[in-house]
Amino acid sequence: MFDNDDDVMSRMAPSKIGIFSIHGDLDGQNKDEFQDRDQFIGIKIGKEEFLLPIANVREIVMVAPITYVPFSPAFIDGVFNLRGSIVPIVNTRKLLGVKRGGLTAASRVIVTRYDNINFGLLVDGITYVRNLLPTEVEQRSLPGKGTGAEFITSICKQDNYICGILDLARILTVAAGGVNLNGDNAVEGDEAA
Amino acid sequence: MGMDALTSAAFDSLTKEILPKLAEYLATVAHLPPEDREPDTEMAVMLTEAHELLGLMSGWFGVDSSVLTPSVSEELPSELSDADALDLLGAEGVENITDISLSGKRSVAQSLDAGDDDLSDDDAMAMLMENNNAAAPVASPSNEELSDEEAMALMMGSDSASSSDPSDELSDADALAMMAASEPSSAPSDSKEISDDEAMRLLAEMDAPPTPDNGNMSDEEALRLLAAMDEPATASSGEMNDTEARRLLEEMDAPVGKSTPAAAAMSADDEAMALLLQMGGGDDAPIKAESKPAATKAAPAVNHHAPSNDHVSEHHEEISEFSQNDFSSDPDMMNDFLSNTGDLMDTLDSTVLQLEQNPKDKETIESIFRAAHTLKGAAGMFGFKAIERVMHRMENLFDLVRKGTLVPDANTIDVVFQGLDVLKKLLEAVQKGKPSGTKTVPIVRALELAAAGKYIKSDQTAKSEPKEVAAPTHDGSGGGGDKPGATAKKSSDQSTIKVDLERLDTLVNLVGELVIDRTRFISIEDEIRQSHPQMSVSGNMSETVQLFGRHMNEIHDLVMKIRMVPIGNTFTKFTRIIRDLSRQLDKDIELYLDGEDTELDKTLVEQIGDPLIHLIRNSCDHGIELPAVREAAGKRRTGKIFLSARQEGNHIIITIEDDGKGINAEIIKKKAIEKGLIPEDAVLTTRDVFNLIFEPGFSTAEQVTNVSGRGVGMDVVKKQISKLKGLIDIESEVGRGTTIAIRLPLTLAIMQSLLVEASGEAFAIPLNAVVESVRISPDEIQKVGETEVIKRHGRVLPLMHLSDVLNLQKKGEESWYSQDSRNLTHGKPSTQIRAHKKTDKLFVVIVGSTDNRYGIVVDQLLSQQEMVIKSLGPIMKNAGCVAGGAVQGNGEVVLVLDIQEVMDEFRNQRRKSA
Repeated sequence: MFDNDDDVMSRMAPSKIGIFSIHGDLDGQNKDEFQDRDQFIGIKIGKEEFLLPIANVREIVMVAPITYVPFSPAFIDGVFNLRGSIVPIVNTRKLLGVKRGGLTAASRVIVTRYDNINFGLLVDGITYVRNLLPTEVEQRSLPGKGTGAEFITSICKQDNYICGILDLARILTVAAGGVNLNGDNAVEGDEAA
Repeated sequence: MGMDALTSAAFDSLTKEILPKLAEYLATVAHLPPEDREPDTEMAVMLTEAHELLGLMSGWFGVDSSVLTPSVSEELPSELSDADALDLLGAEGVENITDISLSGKRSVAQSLDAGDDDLSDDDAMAMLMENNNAAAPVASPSNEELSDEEAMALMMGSDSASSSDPSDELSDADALAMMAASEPSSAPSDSKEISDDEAMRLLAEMDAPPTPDNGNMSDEEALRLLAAMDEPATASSGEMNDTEARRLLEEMDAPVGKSTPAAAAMSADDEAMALLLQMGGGDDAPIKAESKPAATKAAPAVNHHAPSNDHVSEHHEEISEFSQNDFSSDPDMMNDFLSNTGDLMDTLDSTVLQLEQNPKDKETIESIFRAAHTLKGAAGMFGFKAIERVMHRMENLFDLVRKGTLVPDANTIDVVFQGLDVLKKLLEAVQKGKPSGTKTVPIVRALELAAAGKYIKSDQTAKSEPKEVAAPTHDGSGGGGDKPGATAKKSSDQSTIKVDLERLDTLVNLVGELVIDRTRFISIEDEIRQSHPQMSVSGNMSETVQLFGRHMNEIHDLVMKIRMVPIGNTFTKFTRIIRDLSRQLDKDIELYLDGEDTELDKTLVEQIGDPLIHLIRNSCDHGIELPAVREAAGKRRTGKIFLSARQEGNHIIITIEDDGKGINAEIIKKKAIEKGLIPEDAVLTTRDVFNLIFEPGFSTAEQVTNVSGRGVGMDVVKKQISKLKGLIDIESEVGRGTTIAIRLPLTLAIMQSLLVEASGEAFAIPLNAVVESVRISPDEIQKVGETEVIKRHGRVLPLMHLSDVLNLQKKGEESWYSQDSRNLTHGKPSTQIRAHKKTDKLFVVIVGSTDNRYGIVVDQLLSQQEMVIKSLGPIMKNAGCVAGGAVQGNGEVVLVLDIQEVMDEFRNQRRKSA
């Protein structure tokens, strides 16, 4: 369902990218530009870029050794040690149905916190922090029936740049409910991969 | 005069808006039946506003607080509602301002003493309207001194500053003086009632004398006021303040001096004018104009007469347990409150016991009184009215004791303990954040009666013969009648700090991480030394790393000890339980304590309390016989219970030993057979028989003895102790007594476990589930149907392969990242181990209980380790077979298996495949 366009970056509008961009000038002109913007962090899963609300991101860490947990949902790779506390890791490739890949130097674990629950997202890379106006975020779920679509409930449209925003609440609900993405129960495992 | 604008703005707001509303409200309340007089939110809001303004003004008038309070005319006004305000405020007209300090304060205290009788009705509002009884004899001037600091200390809810009783009492007086300073400002308004009311409430707060009952709301009000007055003595009082205050004081004085309202009004005005002129500061026309209505309004208030004013009020209303205020809605403040009150309750519990032993010990009484007072103050500040109310009565009672008016006997102490129990319930309710519905009226009445030297007849208090309960010293180190006090003293002597548990856990985690870093440092150091042996920096590095390692070890040990607390606090409360039980059961019981200094994890100390209470109750109920029976059996009349704790390696052993009648194994066995718990021909050791007591459905209460149980069976005790990863054991000899031993791990979190490996993954098996681990050759495995079994000690054990049960083969397929990541995580490639397994013998870990054993085939036995078990978090709660995770020395997480679930899973898989 996602096209694996290598040229994602070229579609971005450069002027709107960056953490430190100032909107409007400091003399009070262009006050409109100072509207509330939500910050999102761009992550790469496979070759695709997705956005994640930055409010839910606690920290970004290197990939630590992951301990496999039997009978956990298929898209949970296991748990890892984050300064003494044990945090589950969600494999975003599997979550979104992107095909297998290896860990690279760019791979990171994004530790997110939603509803007082910490969990890590294993991603293939981090891109940029984006400031989006509320008008640039469109609530809409993707029509796709395959895995992954259900975790994207809104889409960012900034000029030519279009990108799906991951819904952490959904991910959490599915993860905590132990619902397997492929409909198998967790015990039977996931051979459909 | 810079505050003119502010002053008049505040005055305006106070006089034109808030006070009239309050007056109106009070008027309506006054017409309601007493039961309906619950303060509503509107009222509360207005009060808060008024208090804010008063607080503001008290800042301006601050310095005058002492100026305003000099001595009072000796003849007490007969109109009660005005009495106090008048006493305080009227003074100004009579005396000169020069004498401001001690005499003034004395007079305040004096007027308080005097006013107190007037205040003896329970509800401040009701009191205002009904209570008009006058002319209490003026008590002799109190000779204590007070300081502002003490008042401040009180305001902060701390009694650390108030080290002696006078300060307690007089800091109140001082507070009143402060109140007085702000009082005048409300006077000119046409709601006289309110200012009086306020004053009354403050007065009611006074803990002085023989009237046990004061206002319900008084303390809270007063404290709120106190809290509002952040600046009790600012130096910035201008000329204007004095003028203003004096004028107002004069107004207040009027109704007292004159007998008719009209005259009062007149004179008030006249005097006020005169005074104003005299002061030369009369620059505030609007206020002057308002003085007339104020004075006239005052008159109706004093016209209400309530004829009766009993020492013990006839009826009390139930009041709501707590109301929200700024303090109680602040979680940090609430935590402080709860932990402080917890300590205070402990102090009260132990000191009251001491008081019973030694009713005249001044120090004990003082410490009780201080604790009670502080608790009351804090409760008031937080708006927990019910606590405050009960506490107040108790404080009054203790005050009588302190003054020597009342010598506490066992009955008094009983009532006090009942009161403490009610308080505990109320505090629990506060902790839970919802009212418990505990009724305070009975205990309030009981306390009042006790203060008057009367007692309500009840089962417990009906017995007039006080039972001697002592806790004598055991082996020179334990118990003793004065032990609780000693403990309390010791704990206050130690300088301690309270730390949020969450922070502490974070610290423990971080130290754990540092330990891992240290390991890495050592390997780096090793590398450097080997690759550059000639470099001097490598030598320095080695040294530093070694030093770092040593410090790290020390820190680690220290941090692990932080969570440990002595078990003594839990033990101390049993003294109280034994006392109550021996009175209830008509038995003579002595409790001997030993090893209270033994330390164990705080969580454990908290959770072991309930099972211990149950066991001790059992010992009292079923163990110790009645004195007559004991004598007949040739024993001492007084039964003994030993409670001791000691450390043995990584465990704590708690024993409860009594010299009662013991448990008859035959009776238990017979009952168990009757109940069908064991077959009739069962051959059991005595120990097995005693363990039957812990079986669910085996109630010791009805079947073994005739004393009723407490609703919690021994099976619950056992369950609780197993939850704490502990063991419980009974030994008993008929006629000689019973010993119950509880064996607990030092900390909850640390668990001994066996580290095994299956399919390249490490797993920890809790050692308490492991029977043994063996190596077998593949030939020894036999097949029964689909199931592999081995024979061990003549028994057939089903075998399960851990990697099969946990479905570890699919692990590779589940990872959507390359296998490299797996090799990254675990050093040894799993293929090597598999090869190992085929050629060599198999490792089998035998787990389970006596009749339900399984062999678990693993690839490798790694080591035996102490692990800190942590939760995997809510997301992973559905993951079966896993009890939790533990962070290993190398920073990796190892899963701790739940063996029961593993066995269940194995059975399920068998059933499915069959």
